Amino acid sequence: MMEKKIVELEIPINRVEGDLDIKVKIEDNKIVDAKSIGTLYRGFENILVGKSVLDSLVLTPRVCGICSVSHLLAATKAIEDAFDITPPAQAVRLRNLSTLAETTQSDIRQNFLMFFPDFAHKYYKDKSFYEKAVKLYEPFKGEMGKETLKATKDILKVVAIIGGQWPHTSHMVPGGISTIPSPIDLLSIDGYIKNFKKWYEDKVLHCSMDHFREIENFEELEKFCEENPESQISIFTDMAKETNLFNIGSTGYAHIGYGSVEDPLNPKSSLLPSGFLSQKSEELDQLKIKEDAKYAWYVEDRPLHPHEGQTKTDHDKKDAYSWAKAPRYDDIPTQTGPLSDALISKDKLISDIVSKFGDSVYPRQLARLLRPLKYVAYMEQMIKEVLENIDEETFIQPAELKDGIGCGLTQAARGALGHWIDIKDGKIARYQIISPTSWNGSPKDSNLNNGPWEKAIHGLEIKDTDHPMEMGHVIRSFDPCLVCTVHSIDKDTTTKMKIGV
Amino acid sequence: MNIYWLQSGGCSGDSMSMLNHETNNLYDFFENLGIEVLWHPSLSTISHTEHKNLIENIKNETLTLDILCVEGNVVLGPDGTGMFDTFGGKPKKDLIRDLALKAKFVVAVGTCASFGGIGSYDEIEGKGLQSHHRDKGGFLGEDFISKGGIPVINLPGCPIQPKSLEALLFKVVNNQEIKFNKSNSLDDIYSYTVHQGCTRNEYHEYKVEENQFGEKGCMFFHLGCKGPTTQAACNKYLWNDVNSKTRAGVPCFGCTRPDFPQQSPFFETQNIVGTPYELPKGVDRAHYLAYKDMAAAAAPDRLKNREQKV
Repeated sequence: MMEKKIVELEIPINRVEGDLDIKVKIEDNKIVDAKSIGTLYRGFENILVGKSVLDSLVLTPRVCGICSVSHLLAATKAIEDAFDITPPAQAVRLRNLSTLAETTQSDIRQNFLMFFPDFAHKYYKDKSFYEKAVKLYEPFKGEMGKETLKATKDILKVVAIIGGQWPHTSHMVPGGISTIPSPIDLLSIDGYIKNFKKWYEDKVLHCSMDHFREIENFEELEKFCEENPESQISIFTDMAKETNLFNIGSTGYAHIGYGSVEDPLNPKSSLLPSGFLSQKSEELDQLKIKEDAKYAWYVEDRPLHPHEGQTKTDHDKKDAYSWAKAPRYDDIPTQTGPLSDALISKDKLISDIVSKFGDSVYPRQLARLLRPLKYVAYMEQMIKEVLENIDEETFIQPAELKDGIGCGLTQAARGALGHWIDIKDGKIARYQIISPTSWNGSPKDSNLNNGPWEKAIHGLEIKDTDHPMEMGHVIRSFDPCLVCTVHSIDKDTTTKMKIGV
Repeated sequence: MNIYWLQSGGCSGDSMSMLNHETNNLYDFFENLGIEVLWHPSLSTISHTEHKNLIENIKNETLTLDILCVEGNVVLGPDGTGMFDTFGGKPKKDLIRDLALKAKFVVAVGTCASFGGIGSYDEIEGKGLQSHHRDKGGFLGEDFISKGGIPVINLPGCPIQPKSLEALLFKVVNNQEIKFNKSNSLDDIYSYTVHQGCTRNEYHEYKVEENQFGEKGCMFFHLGCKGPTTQAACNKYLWNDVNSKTRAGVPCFGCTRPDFPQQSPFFETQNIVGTPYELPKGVDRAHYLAYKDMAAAAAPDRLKNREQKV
């Protein structure tokens, strides 16, 4: 009998935001154990403690260069929640516009600058799609890459007109927004949205959005692909078939979403629903969110809600392997992102594909590629309402911000983003951030459940360990963002820490 | 010419900002200048083994590295070990030093790489490449000179404005002299104040000042705006080609300054009897007070009533 070939590797994954290593044990080309290790710790939450309450509006966008507006929205909502402040409808519409534009930018860039370029790697030189993939997606040269740069820098002008710049602005403030956009500014926004829609129809779908929205199941999608072979959806579907992306990367895990596009008239609820989807769909209750630190380098063992989170490091802790704690909903390991959003909002096409192929790489990535179908429609609705209510106020001065606790939940590009703030005497006493990647890239928990992407690559076959393409596809389909892995460390214990390398 | 782009303690915001390059698109821009990107962590597709070989080739000088761009600060924590930011299990700071010693030009992209920025006051012990806040030295030391014969070129901003790197690369490729200002930043870009070109200037001139958001007046006296004391081209080369924070009612936070992020509240101006503690560079306080009092007295009603649009 042949001996089993066992390899242990720590593989850095690029084309994600920030640094990520995946440590895998491979037996006869199959992953039998996987650990996701964020290799950058930024100590963000400690930076905030002791600062003036509004400083979170300047500092938290700088957690992440790619979803800074979502962090700003979560930070603003957390303060508004603490003091029971309701922003005026016109401010909510303008906040929605800047958040939707940012997320759309991120979705398009992730697809054509980060996910698709893998198909242009020489590893695939014998595949039928290879030549086309090089032409379209080769880094720094590909046609779709250049198209993406043009379209995304233009849709970001929507954020810049409302907020001054992208990334890293602070135009959302408790009580509304700081900007007074002129009617001409608003007409420009309308123009940039229309331009983007046309670009997405011409260069991505190769048909109108309305026509594509009629597709409700996988059979109809395949028919569309046959009829429109140059559509990016068709090219992706073909490449996914040839590289087996329909059948790898499933977790079977639950889904969480905090809901996107706030209702201007009732900003506590959203037009695209929040929810928790396991065997059945439930209403979201943020009190069920707890962080488990059993396998993270922190002292605590009992899972805690972010409002109680105690964070003291222990780098010598037995079996721990990550700076990231493991957020769980009702103790259940849970994934988040555009796929979760699509399932929670009962998107017919994506739900049908998942019912056939599970939550594999193909539907997870397709949900991101198709999200502009929804988001552009909401941008159109929002700018229309803004223009109809052009004289409405955009800011109401709140009362003094002294003591309170609050949480700000929103749906960032990568999924559920939450900020929890504790304010004492106008200063930040505690700040906790659970980013989408905290959910997806979490380590094991006390019940020994792996985090979603650990689970997604468990059992995955790696044909060539020098080119672990399969693993790259699975991990990138979650659109990881490691710069958001921000947990705090107690200053006193940090200085005593021993690092065993 | 070639570039190796390294990300360390940061948020990728400078890379994201560069993707908004306006003159053409970033890919064509590189192509037009004849620049080959050997590695960018968010954009390159070479595998981890090919990447390892690339680094080895630069280190053993089989491959000449022209430009090293570093985004993010150099993480020295905890306790000087650098283990809060690792690459291949080793502190990333070691890789930064190895590559900096081989590159003809070393460029600090953004405030974190230039002066330390976010995390420079905190437990991660973030340092700029050759400065820590206003002190020269930083990670590489005051005497560091790259193979091209000049110190680290600072291009601060949180994030960087695409124009800054564009201007620098144009100079490097065309072999033009690189002039520095006092904080080793590129003189061509960092010789404007944020205040220059702000659409609230007329309110500023007549001391029509705001203390709450969502208004049209100037934000210098009460709302923490550092526009008059910050060297950056935000209102000369507009962000995303359309706007700036101060035009949108967001105070300038002084993000290109060596002391960013300042440790006093961002939305409050530090005052001495109602006048900003920090005045525009070279201004005499007594004269400034007299000028502002007279300016306020001369303020026309159209400004006092906020009739003038911004």
